[in-house]
Amino acid sequence: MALTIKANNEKPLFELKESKNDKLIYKRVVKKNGNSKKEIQRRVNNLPTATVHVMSEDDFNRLKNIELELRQKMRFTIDDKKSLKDRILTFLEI
Amino acid sequence: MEFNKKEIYRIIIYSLNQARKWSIWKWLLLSSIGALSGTLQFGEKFFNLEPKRSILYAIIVIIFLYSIRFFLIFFKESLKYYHEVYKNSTYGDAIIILKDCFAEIHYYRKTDGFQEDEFVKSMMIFCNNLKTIFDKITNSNCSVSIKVPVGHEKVIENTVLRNLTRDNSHKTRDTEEYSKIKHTINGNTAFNNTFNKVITNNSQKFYINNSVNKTEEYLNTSKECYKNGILPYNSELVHSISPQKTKDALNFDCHGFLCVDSDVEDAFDKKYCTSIVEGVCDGIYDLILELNKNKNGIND
Repeated sequence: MALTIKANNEKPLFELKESKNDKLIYKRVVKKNGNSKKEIQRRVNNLPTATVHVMSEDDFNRLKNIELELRQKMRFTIDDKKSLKDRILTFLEI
Repeated sequence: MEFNKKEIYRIIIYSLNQARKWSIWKWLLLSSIGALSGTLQFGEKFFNLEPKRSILYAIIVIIFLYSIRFFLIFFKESLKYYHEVYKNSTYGDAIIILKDCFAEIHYYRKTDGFQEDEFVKSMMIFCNNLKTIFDKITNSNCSVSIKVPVGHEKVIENTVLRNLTRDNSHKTRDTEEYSKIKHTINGNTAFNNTFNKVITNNSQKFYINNSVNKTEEYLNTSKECYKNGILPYNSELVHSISPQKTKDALNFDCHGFLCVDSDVEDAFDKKYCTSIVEGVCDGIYDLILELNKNKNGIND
């Protein structure tokens, strides 16, 4: 479970600390800078973590199906119908 | 927008007053030449001008200078006024639209029971209304989408960000090819950067890039869907779906990302655009929290 996140494929910024059901808890990666493992561990333990809440595939698919149904029912006319004045202004970038 | 006669009248009066408030030496220097040449008669001697004509020229010069000053001041003040009106109308409209969005959240919270369709409806309304707001603010064609982490509980490495919903105008972006790609955090500079700000508790949990197609070392998994890897947008603003304020200082939540993009470069500013998405993300966070609470019967 070594999922390490890197910035632009360079230095890793954070890595997975643990996973609990639908939660992935990430911790920051601390530079060694000559410190002992114990010291690094102590620093890591004191740093805040971030939890990513993961949606299950089934839940996601169910919500997507609801979205599909709603999209057919709902009408979003505001953005689709621009007035001639708006179109001219958009064209002229005024 | 109505033509505000009262305001135009005010600008005219202001311009008339300001037009005469010019340095006295400039009035004297530029307009009194004619008058002096008339009275001292050197105009008559050197230019064959009668004293009356010299004074008339002086008056014409004064009126001409005054008119120029008046029109320029009027033009400047009118521009200032219309710019202010435009700004107020754009951001004023944004406030009204956002009010409608948050009304949806409050309605969802007040509604008893587990209602997934209300949740999805709220998300869709958020995306479409935000698109309307950003179209107006940036004067461009914007797209808004909400990405959430999705994955099997046992296969965490495969956790990817998927598009929960998107504004109606850009549904065509959700192609089969797009859905097959694994949009991971580390595969996208925007998500990676934003999530790093969440974990470091940065007050600005967003990523702005106003020239995505020209940025070197910019990772985006969606590039595979487009010819030559050129994205259909030039600016992007990504914000984490996280609470604005939290009691827990040791752990920060992230339920996904709100993505706004625009077809033009330099579309988003760091002050107003980010403040709007910050507020919206806070609202969306509450909605997702409410969804989980209803689903699990616990306070997540």
